[in-house]
Amino acid sequence: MSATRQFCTFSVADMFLGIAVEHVQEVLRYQQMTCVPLASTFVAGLINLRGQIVTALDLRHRLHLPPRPADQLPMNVVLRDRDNAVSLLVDRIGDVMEVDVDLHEPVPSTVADDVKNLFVGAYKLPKQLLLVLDDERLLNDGESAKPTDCLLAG
Amino acid sequence: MLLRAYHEGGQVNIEITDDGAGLNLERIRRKGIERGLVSADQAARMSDRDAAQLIFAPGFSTAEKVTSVSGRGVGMDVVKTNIERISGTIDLQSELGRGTTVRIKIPLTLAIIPALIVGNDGDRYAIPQVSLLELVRLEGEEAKRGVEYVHGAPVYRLRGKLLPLVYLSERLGLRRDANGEDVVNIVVLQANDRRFGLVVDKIHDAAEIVVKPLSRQLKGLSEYAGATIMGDGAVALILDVMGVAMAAGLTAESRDASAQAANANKDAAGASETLLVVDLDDARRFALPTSMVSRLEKIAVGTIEQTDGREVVQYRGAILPLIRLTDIFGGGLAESGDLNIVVYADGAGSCGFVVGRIVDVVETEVARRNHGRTSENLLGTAVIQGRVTDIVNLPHLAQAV
Repeated sequence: MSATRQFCTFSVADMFLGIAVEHVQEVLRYQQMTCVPLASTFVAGLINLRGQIVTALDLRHRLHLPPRPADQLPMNVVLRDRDNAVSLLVDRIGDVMEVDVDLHEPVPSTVADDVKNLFVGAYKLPKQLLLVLDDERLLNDGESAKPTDCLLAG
Repeated sequence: MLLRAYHEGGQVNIEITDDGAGLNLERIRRKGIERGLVSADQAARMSDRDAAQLIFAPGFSTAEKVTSVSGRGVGMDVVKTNIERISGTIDLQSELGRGTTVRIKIPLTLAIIPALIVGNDGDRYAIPQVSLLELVRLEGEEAKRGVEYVHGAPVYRLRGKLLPLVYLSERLGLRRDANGEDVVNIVVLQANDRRFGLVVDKIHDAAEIVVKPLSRQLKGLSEYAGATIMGDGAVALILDVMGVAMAAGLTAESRDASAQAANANKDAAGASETLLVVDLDDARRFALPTSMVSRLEKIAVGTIEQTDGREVVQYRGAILPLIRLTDIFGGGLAESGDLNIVVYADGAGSCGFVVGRIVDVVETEVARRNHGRTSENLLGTAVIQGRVTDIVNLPHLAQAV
């Protein structure tokens, strides 16, 4: 009986992703956001989470995927970041999955080079490949993308 | 049950009032004696308020029945301990049969600042009031004419002094409210020695806001000092006035003219001075030392009156004689609805010099050169911003009045 790890899983476009469960504070449905003009493109806005101001990062932008369809509202995966909380905007929330560490694999070459370093590895599950994100890298000030065009965040 | 919360005297006050049975102070006193917390004598002498405090003692309970959520005497003890742990106090007031009020006071550990809430294209931003000097609202005609341009940079003449303008929408890379053309809202701000006017779409209320820091992903944005949660739960960004000024490129040269004039006086012996550059017409450009300039004003042509062969205008409760520089130096002014007046004042009185277009205020090293023909009307001639400019001897001309 080999060791297992637990991941909070979610989907962005057709990518099935996960983050170690101990880094996840909570998952939420779509929350109203306040735009931050001049911030980089992947900062979607600020959320009021029970009195705490949480920065929301759009994973689609961060992974250089095409933007979400206008009528599709993102979900929130809230991560603990030192004394702050940061939310990742994703398409769909999945289950918490317990995964056998033996299934671990390196990140496949099909993942684009410019985002490869955001992953710590992959797990080959029966039906799909789970890509595990490096939350520390994700939360660090990544590439300086051009300032966001503050379209109404809804 | 009634819940009241308010901020008073640097503390958060929370009051919870109910219309229940109230505290049975008799039973509480008896229980206190029973548990050895007080002697019979003390219990009798205790005030009602102190008797009520007995319920906070660990393990204290007058309940006859213990349920899954109460009766063990643990709850109130935990409440008091936790409140005192953050340096707060808890107080009880009760009337048998009428109800009980619990009052909790907790000192503030939050940063609260007074701010002005402004709007841009439907979003709200907070400006710390410590940087706020005043608000100016221009409507209709004033809104169109009030904003002038000096070398392409928008300025507003605030009581004679030129105030550089910064448009919030431009700073943030956003749209402006399309209806904003009729109204110009200027928030006059000061950060260190940078004074400027921030043009916003709307001015909302003054509010006391809790300053929350931005997360590390956003800390690098110099235009923001933090964020706050508004009364309706929405998040609003707090502007960093210094950051906005620097990002707008407001440098030391934008300091208001009075500071420049003061410096000019100090530099009297030095080679550098501050000059107000004006045009009389397309051909001739003149400079007036700002140290001699009292104010800049705009007057409507219709307000000029004639007396004793001179033109005058009513100005600040007195009569201001006017001198047209075109009468002295030649040239003609397009007689539009308004005239620019440079007000000069000395011990003898004031007069207003009618000039054409106000071009700029420059700080420049001036080499005063006199021509062959010396005119007492001029202090010299210089090349300023690439053009030959005569420097006017204002005191001398004023003597003629």
